Amino acid sequence: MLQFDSVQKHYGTFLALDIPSLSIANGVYWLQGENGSGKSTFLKMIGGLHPFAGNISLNGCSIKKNRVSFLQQVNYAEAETLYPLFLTAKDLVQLYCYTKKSTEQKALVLLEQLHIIDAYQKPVGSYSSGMLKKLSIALAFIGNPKWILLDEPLITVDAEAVAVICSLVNRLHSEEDISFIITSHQPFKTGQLGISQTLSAAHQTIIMNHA
Amino acid sequence: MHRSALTILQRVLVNHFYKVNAGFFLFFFFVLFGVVKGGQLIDYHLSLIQGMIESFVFLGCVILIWFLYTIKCVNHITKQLTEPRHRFLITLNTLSSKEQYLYMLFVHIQVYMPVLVYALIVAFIAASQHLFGAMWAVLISNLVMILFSAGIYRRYLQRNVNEGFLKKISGKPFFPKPLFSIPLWFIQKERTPMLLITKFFTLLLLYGFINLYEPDTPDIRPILLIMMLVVVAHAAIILQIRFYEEERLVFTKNLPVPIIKKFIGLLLMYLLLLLPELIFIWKGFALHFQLTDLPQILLLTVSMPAFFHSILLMKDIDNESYYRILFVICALLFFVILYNPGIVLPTVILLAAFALYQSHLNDFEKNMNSIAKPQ
Repeated sequence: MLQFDSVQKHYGTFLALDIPSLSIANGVYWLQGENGSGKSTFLKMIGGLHPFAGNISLNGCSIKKNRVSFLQQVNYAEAETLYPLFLTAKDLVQLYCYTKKSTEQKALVLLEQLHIIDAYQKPVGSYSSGMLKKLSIALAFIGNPKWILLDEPLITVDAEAVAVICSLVNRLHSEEDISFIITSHQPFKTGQLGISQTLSAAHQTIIMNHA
Repeated sequence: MHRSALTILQRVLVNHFYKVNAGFFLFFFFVLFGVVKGGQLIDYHLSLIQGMIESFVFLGCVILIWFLYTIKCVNHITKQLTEPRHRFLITLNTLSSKEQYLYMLFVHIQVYMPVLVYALIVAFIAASQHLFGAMWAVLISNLVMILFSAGIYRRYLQRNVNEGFLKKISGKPFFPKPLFSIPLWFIQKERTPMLLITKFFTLLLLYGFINLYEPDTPDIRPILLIMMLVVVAHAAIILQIRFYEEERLVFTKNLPVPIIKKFIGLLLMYLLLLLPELIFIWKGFALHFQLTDLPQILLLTVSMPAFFHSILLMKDIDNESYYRILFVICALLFFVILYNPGIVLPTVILLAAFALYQSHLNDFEKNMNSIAKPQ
């Protein structure tokens, strides 16, 4: 379970997010909200990319007190990740496998399913935006995470890749109990993704939408 | 040539060049004009120029520096010409090839101006002393570099090549790239002129010091002061590395790497960056320092850039305040080193660097509005 206690995120003097208390049980969550409502900020705080006031913990493990252990359990794919242009997908996969304690083989299978295995040894500077998106998603599945955060995973990728990503999310949740928070402006096709519940980002906070 | 087109090129390409290289020019301005007293400034430069026009080896070195600066200009402008936001410049393709060349010549002369003015003074003094060999060497080398550069810009403008000059001519990567080494790859691939100029300057500094200064007994203090200057000469590179971390390596914040490991990586990175200088000072072994002094030199050379790097993690540090803080630190270190505090000084710097690093690394948030974006 992800637990948020007195979490506040400021940009300068502007209060972007204020989450007094929120618990998110395991599941697949669709985080909805308008542009600028704080969806990406929310994911970046959990993913360790943004500093914030308060505390976020995962099954009692606090990101503030035990950052390494927390990040072993939380993987994150940004909406638009910028990688060093001269690195190859192989360099990045090896880096993620080393730090997230995983093997290259699992990532290779996913890259093959997403049809970017041919560019594995090419610098990411030569990738299209769709290929970069697929790579960032593949990197988010490396290791043994308990939660995977996907920020706009469906933009710029082709329909076939969307199907691969959705089926992977469903399988990992049902078989390995991995939880997901996914932001998307595009609605999912009926039955494509086994959404447990939705979250809303609005009025500078995040709330759980009860069915 | 149309005035409005010249104004746009001036704003888009030339002004941007000087803005992102403000630190670089500040450093060279200090080296060329700040190291001597105001009254001796003209004599200093006249004797420097005299040395150039009388020695072809010296002149060759100076022309090499001008060439490196030309590469820096060409790399910057070609990169800007390939930027999506500058695609509107393709409209210049409606002009004749000759006109395009003249516009690009205008751009290059503007960015090359600091060298051009100095080179013309050198040529004038050479001519006034009837040293026509040196004069023609200066004029022809500069003319060739200027004309070729403008030609390269025109080629980029016409063909809409989608990558910068240096990136295009550099090869594919062959080596594995551990996390700590990625910023070095970036510097080597995308900031090549800056790296070459810095290395040329620091190695020249070390060469001059070791060959010209001969103490009666080995004294660690002068070599520590020189190594401090060597590190300070890398200040612009350190700034580039920090900017790059926030621009392209943000994703690594999600990687579960212990902070101590990241800090060791930082030290390794700066050790690799300064390895040429550390190897070079062996030339001064026995005359300038003993084997027992080596840990002190090594630790100072690595801990100082790590400290400068950690300063850039603090909030509200912009280019100007960064260089100002560096200046104050160096002024303080200058006096501390004179008292020969031994291994204590680099150890304190190292501990201060780690304290800053671990308290600010995860709290740092990109706020680079005040820092000029590197090219």
